[in-house]
Amino acid sequence: MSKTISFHLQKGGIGKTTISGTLACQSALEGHTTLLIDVDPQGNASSWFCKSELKWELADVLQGFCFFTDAIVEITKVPNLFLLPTFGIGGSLKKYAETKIADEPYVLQDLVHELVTSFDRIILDLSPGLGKLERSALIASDEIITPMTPEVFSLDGLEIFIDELEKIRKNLRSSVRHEKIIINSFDGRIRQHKEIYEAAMSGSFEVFKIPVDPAFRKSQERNIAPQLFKYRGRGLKPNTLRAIEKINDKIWR
Amino acid sequence: MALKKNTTIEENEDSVSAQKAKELFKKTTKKKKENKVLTTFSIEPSFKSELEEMFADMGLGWAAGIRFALREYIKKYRE
Repeated sequence: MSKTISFHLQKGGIGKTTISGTLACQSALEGHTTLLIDVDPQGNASSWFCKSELKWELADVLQGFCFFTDAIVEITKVPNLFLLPTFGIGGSLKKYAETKIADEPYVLQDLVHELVTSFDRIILDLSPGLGKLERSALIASDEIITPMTPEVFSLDGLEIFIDELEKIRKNLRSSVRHEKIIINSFDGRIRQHKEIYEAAMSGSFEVFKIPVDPAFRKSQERNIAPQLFKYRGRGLKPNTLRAIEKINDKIWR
Repeated sequence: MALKKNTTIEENEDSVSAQKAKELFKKTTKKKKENKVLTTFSIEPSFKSELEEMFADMGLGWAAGIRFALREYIKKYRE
């Protein structure tokens, strides 16, 4: 059975795109047909995996200008990985989100319902914020997983998100699950990181951590999956790889 | 005047973020799983067979079926 996951917190800079892209790659590398939908008007996930110029993007599919099969591209460097892109330049997702999506909040949900017959796993990469586009994407998902960095603004962000999500569930009649958090850029040598991790473990969330690793940024610069990135024989740290494998193993159940 | 070390501050005191994290995640603490209590009631055999058949179709045994049905009833009644 297909599953759709959004990685979201309205705060910026906590690793939404990095985690969405990395886990999409991990799922695909393990043999599952995986679709990454770029729901960020800035289109960072798209520019990470796709260098060539394309004709169609997500906003075109949502507005009925093309079929989803026209817009979805296969990422040849990562077997089983597909991308429904958004153009950062010349794209229309931002304008669509500002003008039309308010009238059709279930448009992404409808699209996902069509896509689940073609893909084992779907990941939505969202932009920071909690506007109409993000809300529409959240209710299109089976589960939301919150990435956060171990610092106080992320904690504030999570508190706000929990509160807002309750309203979204009620207002949009959604039963989307929110039971997992990923503490990103975790450094076990820093006391603040350990304290936040321990506090998180005591709550009801299932908590994962991804260690701080410069290979993520480098792989994005070179338009490659972090798992396949190697520079002078060095790629992701073994700890990071293990963390990604563990998360990938748990989140699709 | 030179800055003087404050020796009254406890070194092991929680940082602001640790306090915030504890406060936030305390709100989301797991509900403890309760132990079940045994309860009995009488029921007409024909009605029992009818229910057992329906629960079996749903893949549920007698007790699980009764619990499920009652939970569903509570949900609907509250709505």
